[in-house]
Amino acid sequence: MNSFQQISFYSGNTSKPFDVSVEIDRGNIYIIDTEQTELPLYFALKECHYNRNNNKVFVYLNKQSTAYLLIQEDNPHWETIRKEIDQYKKGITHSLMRLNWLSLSAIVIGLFAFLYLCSTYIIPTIGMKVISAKQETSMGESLYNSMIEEETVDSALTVELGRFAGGLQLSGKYKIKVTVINDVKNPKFNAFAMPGGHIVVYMSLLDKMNTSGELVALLSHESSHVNYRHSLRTMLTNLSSSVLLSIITSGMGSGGALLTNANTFRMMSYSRNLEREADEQGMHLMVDNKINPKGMKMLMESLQKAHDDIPSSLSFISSHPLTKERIKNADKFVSTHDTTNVLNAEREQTWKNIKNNLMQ
Amino acid sequence: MDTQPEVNIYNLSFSGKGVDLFKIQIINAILSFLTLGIYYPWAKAAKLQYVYSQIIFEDHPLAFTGTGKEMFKGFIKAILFIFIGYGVFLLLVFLFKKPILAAFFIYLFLFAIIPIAIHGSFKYRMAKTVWRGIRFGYTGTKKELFLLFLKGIFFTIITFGVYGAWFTIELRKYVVGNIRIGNAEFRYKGDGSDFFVLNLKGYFLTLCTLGIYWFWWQKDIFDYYVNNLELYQNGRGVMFRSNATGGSYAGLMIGNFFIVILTLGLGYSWAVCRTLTYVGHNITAIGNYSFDELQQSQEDYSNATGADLADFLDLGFVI
Repeated sequence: MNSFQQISFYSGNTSKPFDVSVEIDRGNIYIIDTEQTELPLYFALKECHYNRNNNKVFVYLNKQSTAYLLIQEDNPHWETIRKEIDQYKKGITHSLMRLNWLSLSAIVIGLFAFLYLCSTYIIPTIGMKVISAKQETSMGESLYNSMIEEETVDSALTVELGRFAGGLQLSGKYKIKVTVINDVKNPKFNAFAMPGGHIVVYMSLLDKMNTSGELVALLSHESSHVNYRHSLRTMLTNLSSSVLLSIITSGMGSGGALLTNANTFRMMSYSRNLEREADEQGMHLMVDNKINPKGMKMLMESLQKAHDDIPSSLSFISSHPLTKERIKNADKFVSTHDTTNVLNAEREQTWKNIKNNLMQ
Repeated sequence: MDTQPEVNIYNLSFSGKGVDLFKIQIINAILSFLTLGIYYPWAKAAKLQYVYSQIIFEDHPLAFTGTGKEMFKGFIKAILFIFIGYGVFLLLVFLFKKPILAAFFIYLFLFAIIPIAIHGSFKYRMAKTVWRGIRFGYTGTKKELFLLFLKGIFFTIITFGVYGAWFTIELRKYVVGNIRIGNAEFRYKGDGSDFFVLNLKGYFLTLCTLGIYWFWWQKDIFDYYVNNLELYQNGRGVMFRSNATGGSYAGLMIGNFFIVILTLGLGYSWAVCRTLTYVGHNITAIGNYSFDELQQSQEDYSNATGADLADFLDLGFVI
């Protein structure tokens, strides 16, 4: 049993303090020896908690914090009282509060590693297995329908480009459907693939192309996005990381802004990796179709002319790899793969029709 | 012979440190992640417990005794309440095809929810705030607050917003006037006309000075809230006084802006502590009152639904 004299006690009935003696015994703290008639009182140590402030310690004796002791931090009894109270402080929050910054940082890094694994590999992999090609196609179809409502489709070019794509082996699993959008008023120099097989090409981009090989490269690149389910993978990664992040940041206040920004950069880097994969797989498709993959390099060069390249110092905020880097990669691929180019008269004729159409 | 009562100065301060609050935020984030977000009410309780414990008046800290469990229950009830409201709205729109009635309903619902949230929030937060072992309390009623709101919204609409200044002060008078600490009462003696002139002057001078006067305008609002606050018991009491200056307020806000931006948000805890330190440093109480004479007289109240509704509606905490 520990006993301490001359400690200020606030009873919770009034705000006036009393000098009391305190005894700690068998899990309780006893308040004794005062003029107060309602005393002696006792409180369970497991309900006690304290607040250290400006060399004073406020030892709250109940959950309502209405009764408490005021002790000077340099009082030799304080350390004994603290140890008695601390032995009842269990649970994960108290354990975490006791950790130093190094251990806490290690937990945070571990948590981020887990978050990264979950959002980049585990959840997307499970999602890709659960969502069938049929479901993906129907999702792509509804996305395509809502997107196309706001655009002007060039029907003649869509037919010609469909014919051009039909002469190529672009996908074993998905039916590739190509649409050309008229963007003369506001050129976008763009093309993209949607889940399940829709490929959308803007007229301004077609206009920049000089050879049929470049168009084959473009369609092969976009078809690789479809074949490797890149849109679905991106959606799953995006969704899982934003949900997991929102859970973390809900407990962090505005401090979560850093995490949200970091995730945006991460998603851009993820997107660049998918673009690199689509370039490479696209060139494999070209080789399989017996078309010289050099068309990919030429396409990049045409793109470079169309756009002023983003400065390389900003490449990490770009969703596509730099065109220079893509040209270098295409060059490397061409030097190590079959560059046979079997001319196809029908395809060349369709290409001419497309170019004629664009000139009208 | 009558003697003039002695006038004392009572100090308020905030002793919290950014690094300690940051540690709490980090632990909150870890536990929120591990519990898939369910920890949120406990996270909020941990943060409030820390912040309150660092607010010191006359050498004694406040204590926040609300718990995650209470706030979790309130959170569930608040969600149900909002779901029911939106459920009725969606039923009216899609099932009964009555969009005008639905719009009317949702406005009424949102209008009704704000006084309920403010009332519940004050009732809970005050009952869970303790100083020198004495509980605070809130004695306002939902009905009175609702009628005050009805009158305030009506006049604000028909005067195209001009009545807003009077509405704000009436609301503050009612809410603050119903706050108790034990058997002592708070009072707010502001006036709508003064507040209107203060804001009108602030608005035009801010425009004329390309925004620079904004800091002085906000400082004037802070002064107006603090300088009209009093605490009384049996004819004796204290008046609160602000020592803030426009320059120091500008320094606080600009400093906080850079702390948060340059740390990409991680410095948020330091900005919170700087603000509270500033508030504590610039408020003093003057008068003659024996703080040993407070009596425990307010009931405990553990329903956190209103506080959680206020959290959903992002109403903040308006004293």
